[in-house]
Amino acid sequence: MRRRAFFQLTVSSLTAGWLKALEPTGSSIVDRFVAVTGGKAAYNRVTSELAEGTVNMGAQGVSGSVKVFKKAGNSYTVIEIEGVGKLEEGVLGGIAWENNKITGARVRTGEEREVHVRNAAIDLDQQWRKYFPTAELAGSETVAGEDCHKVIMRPKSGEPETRFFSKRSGLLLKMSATMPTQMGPMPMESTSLDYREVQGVKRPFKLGVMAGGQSAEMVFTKWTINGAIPDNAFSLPAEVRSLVPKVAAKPAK
Amino acid sequence: MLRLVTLLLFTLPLCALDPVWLATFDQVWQLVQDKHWDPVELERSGWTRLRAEYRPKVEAAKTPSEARGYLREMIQRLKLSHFHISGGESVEEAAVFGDGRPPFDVAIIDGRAFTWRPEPNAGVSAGVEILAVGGVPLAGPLQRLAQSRTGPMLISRQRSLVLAKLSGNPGETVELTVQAPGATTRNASVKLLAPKGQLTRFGFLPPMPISIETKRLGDVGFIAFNLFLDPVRLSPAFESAVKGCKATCRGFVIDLRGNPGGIGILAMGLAGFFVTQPDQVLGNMIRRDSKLKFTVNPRAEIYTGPLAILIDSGTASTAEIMAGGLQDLGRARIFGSRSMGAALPSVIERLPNGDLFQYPVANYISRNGKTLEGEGVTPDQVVNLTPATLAAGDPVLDAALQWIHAQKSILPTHRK
Repeated sequence: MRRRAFFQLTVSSLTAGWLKALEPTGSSIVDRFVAVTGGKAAYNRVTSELAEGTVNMGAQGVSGSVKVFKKAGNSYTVIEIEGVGKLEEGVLGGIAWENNKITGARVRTGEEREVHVRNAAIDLDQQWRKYFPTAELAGSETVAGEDCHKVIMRPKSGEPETRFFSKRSGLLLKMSATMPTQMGPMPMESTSLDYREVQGVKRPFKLGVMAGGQSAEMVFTKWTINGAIPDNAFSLPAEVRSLVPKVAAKPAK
Repeated sequence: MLRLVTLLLFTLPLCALDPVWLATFDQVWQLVQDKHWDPVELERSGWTRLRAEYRPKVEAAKTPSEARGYLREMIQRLKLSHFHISGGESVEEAAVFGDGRPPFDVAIIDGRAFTWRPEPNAGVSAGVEILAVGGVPLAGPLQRLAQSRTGPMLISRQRSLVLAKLSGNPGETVELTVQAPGATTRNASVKLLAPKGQLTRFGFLPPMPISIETKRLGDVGFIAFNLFLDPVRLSPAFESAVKGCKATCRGFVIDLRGNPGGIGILAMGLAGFFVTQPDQVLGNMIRRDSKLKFTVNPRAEIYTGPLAILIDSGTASTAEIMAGGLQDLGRARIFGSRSMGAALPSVIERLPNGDLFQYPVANYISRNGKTLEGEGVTPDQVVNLTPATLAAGDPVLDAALQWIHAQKSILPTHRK
């Protein structure tokens, strides 16, 4: 009897250990995402990206257009909405900024700047370890009907991001984080759907963003990799340029 | 045959409304349940009980108007601002009213309506009591409103009621019965004017005229605008007004009287034309999942001299956030009468039946920790209106100008 109990305990311990060994790690899940969306070789060929589409806050009756440019650590996003005008934000040479007619021009600083500079990196996906030293598996959750691995990715500083990767396809379906904003920490959630291949790399053509109690959907109709990007695409608007010397002169806290 | 049809009609159950009305009810209830900033307070207000009470009523309603009436009644039971269901008769009525406006403003004093700030050739002078419009006395409807409301909200509703009765198409004539102080009643014909400003669209809101008036009152800058919308025109108008003042203005006046608000964060942007330090906080928006600060940063063009803000019972929402925040920061002195106290950040969504539902999603607490909802902004200098002061001009603006001129004569700095 005692021998049988010992045998059962040994078997169950071994099984648990074996299952544990089979379970993917946070890092392997993120690596799989890079592999299924094109692989390192394809990503390494990416030097610039341009995405264009529409933005829709259907519940509020607000809609407009969106354009995103990325190249060499610089980025520029412009959303144009009727009755609101242009909502611009970007990163140029480590300067993260925003400009619109509602709140005016602003240069982002501190953690908020870090997040935007990080997100502007062209190698954010394939070189993710450079930006997120740890990726820890934190369970499973269903997203859009798909069973997903929940992975907590911690940047060198600042708040972690929780990413949800489909167990079936390996694709990133959801991300949630608390974003540093001008108004303070803001819980944010985004969904990535409708992946399509562009120059050997799969990109989500449908993004859902929920922040500050509002939700918006971006549908990209055109996504170009390594296409021509105007030289002045990342230039600082005049309103922002006038702020840069003041921010640079501000003593560090 | 006729007998058969009659019999059939009688045997048919009274036709229940389209099921879309129940779906509409469920969505309204659920949105509030999910988005109210304080679930405990919502439950304490009996929201679950209200569902049990009103769902069967909507289910049994015979007409869309009746069902909509129950929905409106249910949300009104929470006694909060920024709850509104627009649709059906309210939309039809708005179309019938027309967008003409009277050639004067309306002031409410002790529940009575008076003409104020008339335009040239208005047909009436300022400080005259409006007793009837189109032969229909105003006293009854104005008194009825007083049975359900008090304070700034009552005054605002009474003014809206009078303005609604004075509406029509531009060019139409409205017959008034008026009485100047100490005089006998007389009839006056006034011609309605075209709405001021340019039409703008935002989300589900109907196209609305946005009027922006900037001017110099001697050595004082002045800006008045009717809504916190159309930032593409409004922000440059502020910038131009501030820039126009350069180092020559003794002070600046922002007239927020009758301004019901609009895009909430526009308060941050416009306040930025009058602060010198970054990251100043007007107040906090308390959501269920977060507390967001209404942060102000200096704009490229700023005005640093004495700042006066004019408010009244029609000043609401974003306008209260801006006025109250700049008051708390010690940056502006507020003149006029207490604001409406309707300062809950809200959103507007389309319901399954096509109606629009505006509902609050956050509470708003001023920089000094005061809840603006139901309380409003109290002026630093209360200016009470009387028929005599109305006739004399604009006592609120006069008080602000007097204060500005009493400040040190050192001209402000103008930064570029």
